[in-house]
Amino acid sequence: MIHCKEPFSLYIHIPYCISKCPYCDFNSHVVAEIPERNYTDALLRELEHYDNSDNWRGRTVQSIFFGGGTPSTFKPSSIGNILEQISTAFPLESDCEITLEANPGTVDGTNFPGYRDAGVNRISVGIQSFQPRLLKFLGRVHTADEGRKALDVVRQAGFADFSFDLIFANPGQTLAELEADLNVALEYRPPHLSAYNLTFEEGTPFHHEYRSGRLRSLTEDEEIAMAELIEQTFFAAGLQRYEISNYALPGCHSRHNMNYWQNGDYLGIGAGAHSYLRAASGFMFGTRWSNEKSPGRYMAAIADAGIAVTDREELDRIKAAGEFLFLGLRMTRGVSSEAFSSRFGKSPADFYPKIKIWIEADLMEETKGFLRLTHRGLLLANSIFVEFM
Amino acid sequence: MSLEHIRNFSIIAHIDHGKSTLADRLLEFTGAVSARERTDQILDSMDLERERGITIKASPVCLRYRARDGKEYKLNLIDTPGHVDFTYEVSRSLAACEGALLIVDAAQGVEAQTVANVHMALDHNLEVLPVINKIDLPSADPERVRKDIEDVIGLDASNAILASAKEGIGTEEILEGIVQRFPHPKGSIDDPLRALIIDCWFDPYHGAVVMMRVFDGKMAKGSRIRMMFSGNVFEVTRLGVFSPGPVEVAELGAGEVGFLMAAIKEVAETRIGDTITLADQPAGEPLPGFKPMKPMVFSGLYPTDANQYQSLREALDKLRLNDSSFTFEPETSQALGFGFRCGFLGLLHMDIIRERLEREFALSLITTAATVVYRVTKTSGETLQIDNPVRLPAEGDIEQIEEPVIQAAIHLPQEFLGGVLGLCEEKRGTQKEIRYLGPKRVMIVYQLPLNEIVVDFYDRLKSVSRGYASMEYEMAGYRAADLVKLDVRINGDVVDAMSMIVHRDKAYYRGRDLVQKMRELIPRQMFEVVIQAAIGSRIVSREAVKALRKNVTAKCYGGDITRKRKLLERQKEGKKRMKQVGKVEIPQEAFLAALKV
Repeated sequence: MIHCKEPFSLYIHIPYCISKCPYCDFNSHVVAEIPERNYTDALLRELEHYDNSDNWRGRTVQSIFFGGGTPSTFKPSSIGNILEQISTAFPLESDCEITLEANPGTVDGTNFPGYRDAGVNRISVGIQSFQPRLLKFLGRVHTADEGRKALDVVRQAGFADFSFDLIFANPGQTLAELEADLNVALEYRPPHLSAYNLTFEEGTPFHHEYRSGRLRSLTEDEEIAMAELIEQTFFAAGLQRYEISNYALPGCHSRHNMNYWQNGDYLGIGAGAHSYLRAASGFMFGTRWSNEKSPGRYMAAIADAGIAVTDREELDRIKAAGEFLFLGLRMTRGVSSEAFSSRFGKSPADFYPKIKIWIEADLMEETKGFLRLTHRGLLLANSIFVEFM
Repeated sequence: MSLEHIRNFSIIAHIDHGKSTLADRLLEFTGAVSARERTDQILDSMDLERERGITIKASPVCLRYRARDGKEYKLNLIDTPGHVDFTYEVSRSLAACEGALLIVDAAQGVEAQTVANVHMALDHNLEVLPVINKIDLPSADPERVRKDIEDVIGLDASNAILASAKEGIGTEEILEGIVQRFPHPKGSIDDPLRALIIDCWFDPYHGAVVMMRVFDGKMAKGSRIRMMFSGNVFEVTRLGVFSPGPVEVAELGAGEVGFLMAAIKEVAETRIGDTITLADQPAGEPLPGFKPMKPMVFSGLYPTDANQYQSLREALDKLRLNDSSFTFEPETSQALGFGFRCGFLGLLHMDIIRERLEREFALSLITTAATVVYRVTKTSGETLQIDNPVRLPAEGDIEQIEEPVIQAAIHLPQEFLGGVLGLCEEKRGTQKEIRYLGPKRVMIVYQLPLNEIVVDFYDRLKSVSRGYASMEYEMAGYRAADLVKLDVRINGDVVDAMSMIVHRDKAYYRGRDLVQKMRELIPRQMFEVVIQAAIGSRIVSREAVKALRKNVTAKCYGGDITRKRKLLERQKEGKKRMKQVGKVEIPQEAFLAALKV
């Protein structure tokens, strides 16, 4: 075993939601009564396990992310207990980013100071839209007013660092509706924003509707026009696009998400959580594993064994090199060719000769040792990523 | 057994008229197979045959039947293939028989496919016994069908046997009919050996198995035999009959049907229709009718994945063991890399080989446009045989191009005459004869260019005549024609594998249809794909597949990278069925389009 002492990121999954949105394919569950206490206990128990693991013990945590589901369904005291356990188990970096995802429908104004006191220093709010019509279409439990109020509450609670999500390219959405959303969004002067093009993910009700022809996506041209409007509007407000769907003021990007794209180690705790450890052994270039997805079975497994891992995958050189690029090239700054070469023994262009064709076709460029997708290339990212497989 | 107690017969039937079921009943009735052990339709052995409902290989069976006269007879059932590509094999099977059962569906009446085979049987002087099958169906109308047989085929059907193979009705009557109505074989066991090769296939343990009909003399285990056409000499190691499983016998004499094995390594060493005689005591004359089978249609087969080249070669070697009418030799294409130029009897034969390669050998293949062999005379006086359009010399160096023509005899009901004549004219045919064969039946004889036939003539003929026209053809030499090479260019580069030789008058339409079809089949890519059809430097048609502008996953975090990667891997897997030509990925289907326009 090689002991890697670099800092890592920690992900905590809270799988419960008040209702399930028809576009969402995340591991989220709607239950009559959320077993907050038992689930929190399971998380604490699982953390204890990794505290005793050679791969993680003693390493510094650079970011913590409470994702879901809807983490704001949990009380500040539960979040506090978890954070306390983490800080006893692992040293935290002094500026450790601690994010909690919140749903405007679960914000009653009293929780946020509590999360702040518990140690959370960044909130990510699932706004999606400020248009009543689109919120209804997206199956959100909150209203436009509640969305606005949630953002006020977050700011009043003293969270200088916050972010929220918008979804665009909804069927029937107009450029004017999008523009209205963007204008409201900027009123809150967010340091960070995510804008996602709606996708019809397999297994979701939207996917079903889409396949049966009842839902129609916008045309390619409309989607591109929207993506461009977003980029220009945000750029004018000082928010730079640093990843396919993410924008931030300088220095305000999400450290936690950057870690995924930069191929850093992360430990996932909770039902269905995923973990990644680079170059663990022998000829392999990394290991990925994930937990039992069902909260009930997750809790049972933890009670039984202290861990709940169900899937594990070792990455060989080809897979690892492919991932390195398809994750890294999501970022507008791209990947360091040298970092790639030192890890895989060849430059990206030697590993994948088609890179030369893409550079000629203005889909990619290489400057100052960084290989990146151009503006056009970002729109075709998947067509390029496929070739890394 | 004396010749008087042998009957050799085949069954002629349209697809679905119940040939296989009837054969099964005959096997059961004579005790060759018990009802319990039979699987459906014993005679059709290949999966492909079952799926396509056609019999490709004849599989003879020997039945022992004690007739009502108290005597035991040996009945040899020789099955026949049922497609125009295999006309010659059918003729050899029929030549081995003295009689044929004609099966007609009591509800549907006479169908086209049977007509040509009945005529061929009559040409071979076979006694034809009509059987009206499926009389149990509510829509059965035996009397109408009886009249149909008389009107359409011109055969006396007054004593046709009424049967239902499904219900087992009429089975014994059919067996009695075979015994009483079909002549017994003639020939002398004391004459020098003459046996007709009906079929030959490869057995992994025994080498080639040769199916034959003995006409004169006899052969025994240990006999030294000579193939009269090929001249090859072998020693018979095994001799036997199928009943339906193989049963060894000590000798086979005049009139009998059976198989031999003789350590023959390749099917290609034996030729269907060749005559077997004894090496030391040869017959003076071979049996009539032998024609060496030559491939008529050529196309290139290329592995989609270059790594499968060696596997493709091995698979072709294996198929060739079993099918001597198919040929291959290595060739290279700029667009497709290494592959093979293959020769087939016809398009169906080509389809069958291609499907078997993909299915039985798990290969993914690209087939280039089918072509015939052209004879090109250069201005220098040199003559070339061209079986690949790529090798056609430059236009300025060509004195003339001649194309192979066939003489086709088409039988059809009169009501379809207009449509069929129109089709023959469209296909550049020259009319030779129109003959009325009865009040409703016509036979037309046309000379047609073979390359017009290989594309879709047979399918079109069936469609304009609602299936009632039947056709047989033979080669009728070469004829000069105004032919040009039509190229397909993708983003400016000629895709050599898609070039075809066509008549100048048709080049524009073929080019336009092909380019339009390809535009539908080539998926959008990161770059615009321009597809052009050209004759030399002249562009006759152009289409473009617009560049894909957006293909991106919005969300990629939450840590489930494996799933995102697997999604990409699946897409990559899907792309394996495409061939990269320059920057462009072309799916197999687009290459196939060149075959079908």
